[in-house]
Amino acid sequence: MINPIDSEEKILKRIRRTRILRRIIKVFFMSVIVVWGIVSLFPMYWMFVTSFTYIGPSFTMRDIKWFPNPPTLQNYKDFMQLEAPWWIEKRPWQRWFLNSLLVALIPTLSNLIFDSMAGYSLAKLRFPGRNTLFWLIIITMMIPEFVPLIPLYKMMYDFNWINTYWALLFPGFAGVGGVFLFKQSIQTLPSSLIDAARIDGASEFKIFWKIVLPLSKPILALMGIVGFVGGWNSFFWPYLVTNSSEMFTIQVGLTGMMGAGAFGIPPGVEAYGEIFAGAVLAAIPVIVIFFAFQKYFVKGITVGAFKG
Amino acid sequence: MAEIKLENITKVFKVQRRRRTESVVAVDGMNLKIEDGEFLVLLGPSGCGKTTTLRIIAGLETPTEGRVFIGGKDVTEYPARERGIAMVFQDYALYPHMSVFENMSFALKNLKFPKDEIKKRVTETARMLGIENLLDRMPKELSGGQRQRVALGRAIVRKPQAYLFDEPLSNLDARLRIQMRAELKELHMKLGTTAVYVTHDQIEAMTLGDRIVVMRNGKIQQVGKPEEIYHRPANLFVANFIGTPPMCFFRVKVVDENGIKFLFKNGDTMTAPSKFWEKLSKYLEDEIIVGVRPEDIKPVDRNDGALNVFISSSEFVGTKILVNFKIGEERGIMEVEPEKANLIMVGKSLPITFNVEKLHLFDPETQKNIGVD
Ligand SMILES: Nc1ncnc2c1ncn2[C@@H]1O[C@H](COP(=O)(O)OP(=O)(O)OP(=O)(O)O)[C@@H](O)[C@H]1O
Ligand SMILES: [Mg+2]
Repeated sequence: MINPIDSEEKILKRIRRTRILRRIIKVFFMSVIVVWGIVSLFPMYWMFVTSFTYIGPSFTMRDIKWFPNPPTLQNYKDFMQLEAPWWIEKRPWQRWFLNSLLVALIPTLSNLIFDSMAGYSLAKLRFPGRNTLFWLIIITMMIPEFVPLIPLYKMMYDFNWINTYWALLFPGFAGVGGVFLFKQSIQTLPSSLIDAARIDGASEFKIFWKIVLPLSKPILALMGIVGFVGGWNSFFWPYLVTNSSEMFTIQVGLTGMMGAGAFGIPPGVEAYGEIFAGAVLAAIPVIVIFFAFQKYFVKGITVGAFKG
Repeated sequence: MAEIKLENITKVFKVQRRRRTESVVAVDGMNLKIEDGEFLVLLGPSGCGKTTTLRIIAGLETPTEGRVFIGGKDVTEYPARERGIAMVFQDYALYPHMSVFENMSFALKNLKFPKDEIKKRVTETARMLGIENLLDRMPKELSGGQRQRVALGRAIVRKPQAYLFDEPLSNLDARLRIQMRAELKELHMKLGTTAVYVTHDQIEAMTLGDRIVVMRNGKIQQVGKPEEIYHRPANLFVANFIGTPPMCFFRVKVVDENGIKFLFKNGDTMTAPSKFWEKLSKYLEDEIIVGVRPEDIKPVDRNDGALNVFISSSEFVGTKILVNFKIGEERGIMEVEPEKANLIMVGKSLPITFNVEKLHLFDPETQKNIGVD
């Protein structure tokens, strides 16, 4: 509030003061962000640096190096067991990557198909029980993800699916979260578009394929990226339902390597160099995907703001 | 091209409200025959069931009762895509991810037309509507008027059996609306295809319609040519709904003093037109409602045989003066030529007469027009 009685000098002073205050606030927030960034990026940096550094068989936080000196690819060679003697049992790391790729891709694709269809029906089609179904979906979303793990495991066991791709892939084929997202986003499309397409002679499937899906591109991209990254990074479920090393995903495999005496690592050896090399390799797809689709990612978050 | 017939159409919506299911009767026992090539306008206030009627014809809504015929065929059970009709929506409903060309060719593609035929038809139609230079644009790169034309074009390319319009001009500004109204009329004369047009704008209805259907609460109030609706309204609702400024209504007592007369609330009397005498005889000593349009009320210089009214305000609107007046407690409005402005003095009384040939008489109970059968 500017008091009209105040002299010009006083007003100028006040303006200067608020300007300085604003700058201080800005600097404060910037430093918070920078600190937070450093803290969260540090493990990544450490992993990256360590993967290019020679470290001895015993390794603790005290041996931390800020720069690889000298840089070496030895850890990567060790991870891939390029120089391992023939009589050592090899770890199937290629299979781990392949399995991770399957776990990341297949459920994501099927999620895009099923969730978008279900979301469309809930958003735009009229059928008996629609509201009940929607509420069931909401309720399912409220349940913490660990609650159904045991019954689900029991089901996999009874189906004889443990340690098969069925167990790895099938439970993720459709998800209520995705259905909900698609429903919310498709609901923002004007119904007159769908009516117009009906009048224009399009079949129900064609309306979905040619009108609804193309207009859902941002949400498709968002779901695709989140699904891929989530699948690639998933650990607990693959860990639960696999028990032989050629069924492991890369996340499960890397974790397994930390247990001494397994996967070609002698007992008592903590092979952090190799593990970090594997972890860097495992992080590459996620980073690539994120940067490649960054544009859609941000767009997807603002989805719902539909303009005709 | 085809005629459309609605037989006993009723549509009831079930609406959930706090665990209770309520029924909304949107269309109530509607019977209507739309002739081949006719331009028929559905007119009525908001919520009277116009859109629902149109959607039932289109096949986007199934009637709760009754049957729909297009071209003599019972299409009640047909989905929209089998009915061969085109529809223009209020919000245009252009597909936002398709170019103008793709928008216009979508229906033809669904009908499996060959590519060159599609191209030919789309360019022809676009030329007719003056949008051939816009074919590569996306809908969001168009102005409101251009979108409107594309929406029209999308309907026209198909050469449908009938056009359905749901308030297609309501999103345009006033000037463009008048222009598009004229263009629509010309277009209909050129194409000669049956058209059903929904609006709540009575001027649009009057200028466009070969016939007008006035609706209220899902029921048809009157069907007729624009002049009929204007000059011979079937009931109070239609009389009140049509015309700007609206018709004035006065409650009068029917008395017999050397011929049948109307006794107004301020004590003045006026001789009833003799053509109504027979019909009025059964209302003697009863009240009826007299309706008169503002242009049929004139100020007069002399006092004999005139009504004395109290002038409450006046508005100059260019070609005429709108004068608000009162007879007793009842309000009325009349149109006065600017030359007679000197007669109008706000706060004073003024003798006026009605053009008795154009009086409308309504039964206050049934609300029906006594003068028309
Ligand atoms: N899908 C629906 N579900 C429930 N009620 C509906 C539905 N569609 C329309 N109604 C109701 O039916 C009645 C008629 O609606 P309609 O849309 O036909 O009116 P309208 O004459 O087109 O009005 P407007 O001029 O406002 O567009 C209204 O009371 C409306 O609330
Ligand atoms: Mg409507």
